[in-house]
Amino acid sequence: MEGNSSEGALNLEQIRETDGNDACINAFKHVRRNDKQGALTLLNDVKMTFSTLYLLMPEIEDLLEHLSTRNMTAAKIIDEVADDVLGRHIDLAEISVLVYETLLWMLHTGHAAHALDSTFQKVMDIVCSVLLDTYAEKRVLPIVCDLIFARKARGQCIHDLIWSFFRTKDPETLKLVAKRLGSQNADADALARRLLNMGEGTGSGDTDMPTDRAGFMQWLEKNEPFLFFTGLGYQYSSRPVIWGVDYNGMEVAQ
Amino acid sequence: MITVAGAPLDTTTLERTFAEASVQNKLLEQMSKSSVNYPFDDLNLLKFELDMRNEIVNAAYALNDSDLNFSNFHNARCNPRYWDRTGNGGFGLKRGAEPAAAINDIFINGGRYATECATAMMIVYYKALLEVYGAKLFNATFPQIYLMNWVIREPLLYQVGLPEKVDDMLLGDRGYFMNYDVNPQTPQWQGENVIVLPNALYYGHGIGITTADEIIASLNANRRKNATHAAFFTDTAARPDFKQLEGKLTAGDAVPASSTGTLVWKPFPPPIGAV
Repeated sequence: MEGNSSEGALNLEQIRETDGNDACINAFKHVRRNDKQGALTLLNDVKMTFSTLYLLMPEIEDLLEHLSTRNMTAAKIIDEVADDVLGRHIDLAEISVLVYETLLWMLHTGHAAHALDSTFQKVMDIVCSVLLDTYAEKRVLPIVCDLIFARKARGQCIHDLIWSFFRTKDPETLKLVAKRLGSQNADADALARRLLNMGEGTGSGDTDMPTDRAGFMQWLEKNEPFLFFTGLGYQYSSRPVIWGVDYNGMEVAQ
Repeated sequence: MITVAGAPLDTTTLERTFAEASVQNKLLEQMSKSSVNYPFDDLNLLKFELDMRNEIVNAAYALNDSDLNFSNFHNARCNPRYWDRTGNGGFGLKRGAEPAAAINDIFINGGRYATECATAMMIVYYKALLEVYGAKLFNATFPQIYLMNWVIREPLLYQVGLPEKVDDMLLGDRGYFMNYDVNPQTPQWQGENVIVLPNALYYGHGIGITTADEIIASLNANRRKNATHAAFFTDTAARPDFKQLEGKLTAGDAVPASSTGTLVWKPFPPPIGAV
């Protein structure tokens, strides 16, 4: 469904990386003015990233019908999420191979982008949420975790990402967060501690829970069968108990 | 039951100081009839809590009547005359802006603002405190304001971000409707923060003033396919630390006149991400 790779698409990505978003847009506009087919080849190149497609969206409104199926689907998702109108172009609640593969592409080729607007972040939030919930695609958890900490470092919103991350109720989430314990970045370490119930007032109920990474991983291994996730998030509380240990269940089991 | 300095309180005299159908009198009735003891060190503390809760209710009505828009954090916006929008969708009081005027502006020019339900609750609390304290004490007490869900940097208000299980849901409490099975495409519907109002009504930003059934119906309408859990009202409430806030009011008598003049601005702490 995608076009062949061309050096042109590679150049667009390179221009964006080295000279910035405006330079990328201008380069695309230049091609488009002189060669519409060439512009379409650039857009539908297999190496096109979601972040670059997003960047070029305002320039290609009249080219949408010529986009590849994947890019067209991504454009519909952007439009839908940006305006908070559900089901206008696409039903994200319906299981679809095309939507699933498009969402994966959007995440894999978009998560590292940071110089885009807040709507892009909002789209990425929904991409993560739908992949993790509707498609139960837990293989993306490491990327979502990276995205949470990267956004935190940039002072951007991580509210809904944290919520969808832990909504999976997967102990792997705790292991991924624990990797940030002891990070040289104080903010990352503090966020990890908070998400792992190590912050002030977020006690898991186990005062013996180790706060270093190695100790925590050992503790987690022992307690993993008794973990529970509450579904609560930062919309509810300053210090939500996102997860905990069912000590009653543990006693019964013993 | 209400006790003051350890002794049960006959509320008859106090009731006469408020209008018959006032929020304060409804609260006195709620507390008096409860099996739970509501203890107060002195009568002033009780009066303060009643007045503060009344102003929380009033602020909820006022915010509902304002043109404040609903949005998630990515689309949050504010009047740049008074506020700086932070990268995570919060609002920080602008350097040199008067805190009281900045809070009032949200109610006057609500159309210039957009945020989600938790931040709206913080706006309600600040407005209530402005009414109880007056502008002079409010400005002196809150020279820096940061509005971003329950990321609370003001120690006096920490408690409003920390719901706890309660026996009674009182007027002016901050309650929460939970929606476990929310549609992953609409995380803003994962729950609804509300202020408890008279006549079994609730104010939630984005939904308005309505009944619990209506709020639950709204949340249920935004669940994922094949949802198995209906939305529900939790048995937790967040309450300000009324005693600490009342202490400021008492100490506020000593606020120097200069505190209403040019504000001494202190920089915010380094930007942090939203949590």
